[in-house]
Amino acid sequence: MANRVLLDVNGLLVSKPTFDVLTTTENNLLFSSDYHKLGFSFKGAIQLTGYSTNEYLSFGKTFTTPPYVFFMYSPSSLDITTEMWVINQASAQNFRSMYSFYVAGSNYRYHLLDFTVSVDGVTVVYNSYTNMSSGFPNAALTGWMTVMATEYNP
Amino acid sequence: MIVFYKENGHIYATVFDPLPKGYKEAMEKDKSINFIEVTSDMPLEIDGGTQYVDVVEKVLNNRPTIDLQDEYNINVGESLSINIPESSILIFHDSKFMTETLVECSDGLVELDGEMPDTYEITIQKWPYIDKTIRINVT
Repeated sequence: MANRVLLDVNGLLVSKPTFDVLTTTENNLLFSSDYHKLGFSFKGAIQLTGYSTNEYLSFGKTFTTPPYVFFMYSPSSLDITTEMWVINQASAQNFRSMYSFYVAGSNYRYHLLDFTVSVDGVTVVYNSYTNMSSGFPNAALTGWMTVMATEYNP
Repeated sequence: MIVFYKENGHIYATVFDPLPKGYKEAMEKDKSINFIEVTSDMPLEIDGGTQYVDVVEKVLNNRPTIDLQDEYNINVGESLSINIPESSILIFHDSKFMTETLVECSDGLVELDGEMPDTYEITIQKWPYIDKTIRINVT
């Protein structure tokens, strides 16, 4: 039977079944204390209401750098039929998602969602637009946008 | 679970359990933030569209409804009287020109005259009531 667990002054290693923890390569480890665990340190939601929303939600703490944040939105709008998942990039603390663009003839309407991830919270700004002058109704977003911030070893 | 609300009780955000360590204490330090702590197994069942926070009692409540029919029928020359919450905003929708006219109504009784045959839509807004849109058919 292979050695599976190694605990020494360097830390803790656990190998996959049949692999010897003393000799195997890193890709055959189930756990290594050399690596951090990425988890969610914060889970919340911002309510989208009507034709525009501008809300800030605090993390309740200050990160050293803006964390990766997942944004999720389930459809509850006339034009939207799929669930949206968005995640910010480390290089883009401010980023924009155009969630839907609906065209009927010369008429259109669309939603713009702007996300700002700072070291202490997130801001979601949502607006819907349409060429109202041609008599095409605007479309509102309603419901919750789930916000989850990640952190190593939360 | 924490529910954030505006000064009028409008719910705009929540933070799910388990709360991050020290989260509630951090929010309590910021006096500009209004929140209550509630117990809910289904966090997303909290809905700012149908619920609000009673800012005096600090509890979650269902938004009341305006007790009106969805549709009314009157003849030209007749009037329709409806009872609405005092200080409501009435929004008259003009479907032909895609315009809206807003009127603040300090009285709780509104009398609508049927002058021209058409179908009219009016939305009544008064916080914390849920918006109510009625249709009036004038024939």
